[in-house]
Amino acid sequence: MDANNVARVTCPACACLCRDVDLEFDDRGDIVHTYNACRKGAAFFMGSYRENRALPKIEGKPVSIDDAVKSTVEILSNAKNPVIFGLDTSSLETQVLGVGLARKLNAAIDDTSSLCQGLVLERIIPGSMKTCTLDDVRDYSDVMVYWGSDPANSHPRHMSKFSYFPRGKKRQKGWETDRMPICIDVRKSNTAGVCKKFYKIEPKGDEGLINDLLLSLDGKIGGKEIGGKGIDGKEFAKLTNILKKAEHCTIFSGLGLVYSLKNSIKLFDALIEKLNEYAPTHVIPMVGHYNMRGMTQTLYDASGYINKVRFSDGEVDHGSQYSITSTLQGKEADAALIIGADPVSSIPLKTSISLAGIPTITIDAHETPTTMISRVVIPAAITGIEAGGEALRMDGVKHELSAPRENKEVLSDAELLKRILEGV
Amino acid sequence: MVSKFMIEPEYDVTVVTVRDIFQSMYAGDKFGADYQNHSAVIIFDESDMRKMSMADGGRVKVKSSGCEVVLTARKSEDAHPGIAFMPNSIYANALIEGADDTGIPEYKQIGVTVSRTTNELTGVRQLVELQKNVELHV
Repeated sequence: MDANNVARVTCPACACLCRDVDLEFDDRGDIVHTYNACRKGAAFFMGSYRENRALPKIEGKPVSIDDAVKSTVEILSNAKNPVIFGLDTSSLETQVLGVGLARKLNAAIDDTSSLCQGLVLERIIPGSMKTCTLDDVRDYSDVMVYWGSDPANSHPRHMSKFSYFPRGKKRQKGWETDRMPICIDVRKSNTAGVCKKFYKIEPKGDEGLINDLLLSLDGKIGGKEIGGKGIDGKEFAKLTNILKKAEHCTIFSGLGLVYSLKNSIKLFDALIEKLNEYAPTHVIPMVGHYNMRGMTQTLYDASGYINKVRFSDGEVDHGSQYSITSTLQGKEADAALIIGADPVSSIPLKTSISLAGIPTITIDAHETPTTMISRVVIPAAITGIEAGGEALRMDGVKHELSAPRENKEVLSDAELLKRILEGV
Repeated sequence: MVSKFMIEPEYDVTVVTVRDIFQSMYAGDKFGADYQNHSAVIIFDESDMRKMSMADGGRVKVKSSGCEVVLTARKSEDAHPGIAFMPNSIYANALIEGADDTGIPEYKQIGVTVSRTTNELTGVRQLVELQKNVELHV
């Protein structure tokens, strides 16, 4: 490794925001090697960011960026019921601009959290659910519960950097004896394969398991087959004891848990409250997009809600009717601005495809199924490699993103939003 | 061997969406063969595959009330009869009907029917075009 051609960067491939990734460049400035990055991070830096880049288009025809921005301004200015969606892969600065645009347009604004970790984040951000940082987990957690989450696939360095394998201030003996990782899932995932305890439950079995845990913590049940098929009574009793006797427990809530509970999420509140009567128990949601935590915090600071917001002449309205799925299912939006998101891939296609029936503008670095059906496409620089900024890690800790490969052919999404804000 | 003159039997399966690190490596190009090959996949329990006479790597037609797609069948290393897993992608989202009043779609319990087929894998562009045409002609 030639130290003169190496830059240390923060990786935006997931919400772990690893800050120890080194990129090695050749004489032309191309990245030729990554150090410390996981498979996802290495794939991102070594090529995937360069592939399949979006070009400015209106109705499928190539145009200049200026014309694409002008058309965007016209569409949004004429819309009576616009919706803004995305911003989870943008910097905090861009997110502030996006929220400002929604306020100026009297638009609805939502992000991917409304269909994933929003139910947990709306407890964590206002402080009604106990949380901690990943640094606290590394230094203090002796019990880690991966519940409906599979970091081995979704956040590949989570376990090695923070939650299982590292030695921390109070965990000097490391994973061998100091930590008890537990996985609760519907399948034996790669994460379950390395955990010391694995509890396999049936799909939607989370509610039953929580109810049993609440009873077991109070000493009201135990010994028989509980928690859904497959969990042996003795093993279940061991789980209860491990959770009760933890010195510092952290539950990493995954989409498996959130999607299973949905309207029953209050049961999870009750479980965390009950566990804290015995042992300090924290929750960290396994946020996927690298700055979804930032977007939910930014919108909360501006409106008092983390997602599903509608601005109207300075007033704020909030509710599930403003989620992207409800807005599109009800066919209420008359224009959409999608920023750094691909709803046609990530929400039910029957719902997302209604974006094809309204003027949709997509700002993205890549061609995606959403750009395919968009009336206007505006290419953007990729934050974390072509544009800098700041982002919040999944636990809310702020990190700086650098721009080791500046791309002068495209504007950052922050610059694009500034131009749109000036025009509308 | 699947005959084009025979009606293939259909089986009911519950699909649960999961994450796959290999699929996410190729997320920069959602029209590329690598992304498609890691997304257009359904992972079955081994005993289910035997019951359905399906081969690891064979093609299956997967239908829900939402849509119909052709995917590659894969054999699981774990036992989970009646349950199949799919990476979260446009293919899984094509099979989901919509969202309930929480705004959250049903990603963890998608009822589908599966049958063997010799048809080609459904392409990402093909899937979007088909749905787009339906939407624009409503």
